[in-house]
Amino acid sequence: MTQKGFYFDMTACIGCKTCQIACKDKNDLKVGVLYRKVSSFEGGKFPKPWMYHLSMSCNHCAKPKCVENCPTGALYKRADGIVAQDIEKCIGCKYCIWSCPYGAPQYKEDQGKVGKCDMCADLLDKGENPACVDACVMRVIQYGELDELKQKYQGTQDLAVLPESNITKPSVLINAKPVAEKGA
Amino acid sequence: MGEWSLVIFTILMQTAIGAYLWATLMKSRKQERDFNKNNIAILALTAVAMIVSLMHLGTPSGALRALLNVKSSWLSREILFSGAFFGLVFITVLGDKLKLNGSQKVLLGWVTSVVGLLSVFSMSKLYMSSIIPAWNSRTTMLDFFVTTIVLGGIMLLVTSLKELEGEVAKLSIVMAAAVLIHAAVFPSFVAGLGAGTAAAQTSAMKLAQAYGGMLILRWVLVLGGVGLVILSQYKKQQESTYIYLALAALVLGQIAGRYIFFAVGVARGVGVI
Repeated sequence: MTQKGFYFDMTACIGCKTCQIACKDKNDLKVGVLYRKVSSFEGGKFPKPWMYHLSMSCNHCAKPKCVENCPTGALYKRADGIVAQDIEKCIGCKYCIWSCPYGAPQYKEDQGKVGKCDMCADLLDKGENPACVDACVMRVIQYGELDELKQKYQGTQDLAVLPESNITKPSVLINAKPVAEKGA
Repeated sequence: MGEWSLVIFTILMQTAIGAYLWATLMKSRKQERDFNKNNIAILALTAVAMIVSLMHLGTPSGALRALLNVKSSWLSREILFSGAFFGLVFITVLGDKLKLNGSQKVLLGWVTSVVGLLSVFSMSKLYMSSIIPAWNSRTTMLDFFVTTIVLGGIMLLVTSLKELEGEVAKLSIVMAAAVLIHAAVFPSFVAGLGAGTAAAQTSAMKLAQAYGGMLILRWVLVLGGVGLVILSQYKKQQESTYIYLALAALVLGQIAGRYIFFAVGVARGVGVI
């Protein structure tokens, strides 16, 4: 089994949220439901204030707690490592929401089911890119085989604002600003 | 707080399972006890619990699919054991019609009790496997088993006081011990949350502030409730009055406790480590 993942270059992200909107549009999400979300963090004081943005979706973890805990098997891991969902099987119990340290699964009130980022698997299967990757004006989101991304880029899975990566082993590589690093 | 269905489901299941377990233990001391009223009440509570649990689901019509991932999901296991418990209680109620003999009834009693305990265990592990620090603790398991012992005990007392002649004192001591152990552990649980991650600290803050008054009321009701059960043994004239008062105090106290359990749960996440 291989493992696909995302790369995010925080150092160049301007927080425009185009990825968030492209994702929302692609997945036709209602108000309040986001498969990819940009969070902004700020702190410090003059003369050294700081700010950074973090664009995060499902991290298609190597050890996904959502898949382990899902009672119906609606959430599953594809051979390429993507954490996908068989929406027909979902019963809307929301246990995946209680399981994910990244808030990736989202409850869709109108459908009585949960939905989540599947890395635009339908587009990938057609040889295209995920909507967020294509939409990013700063080109700070990339995707691919996690091993290849790790060879190409520097990065971490642990930030000061994220739960420890050993909980679920997220398939994401983040080029963090020094101020965002764990223990900073 | 939109988890009323889970408050009711967990409380009713634990009460029913505890009452069955106590009845099985008491029967092992004196065979002729049959606890018919208790068995029918357990069946009714379990049925209501399972129906109420459906209200938690966004797609209740798919409820049976919750059994599809028994190999890794504690939620699947909880539903499996709860459903099996219901079926076994049903057989217990039909016991005489099915012409079960004495040893078959004893076996059925213990098998049903073990399945019930596995249901409470799965229910505990379900919450302990979440990303919510206030649930992700051994205190959750203690809470659920104490509820099983205490509410199960009071239910058996209410349905079968006459049949329990001579055992009430022992039963009340076990109930009181369970509550005291829970009460003794609770402060260190809250302190542990206070010293934990940001999500844990938020839960501790909610316990101390927004839900502080309710928490005190909860412990007064539960400690008072077991106190009333013990007192009933010294006031034999009004024994059943004391037992009914204890029932009201214990049920209200445990429901308040479970409400608080769900209300203070804060998930870890991006920015809420």
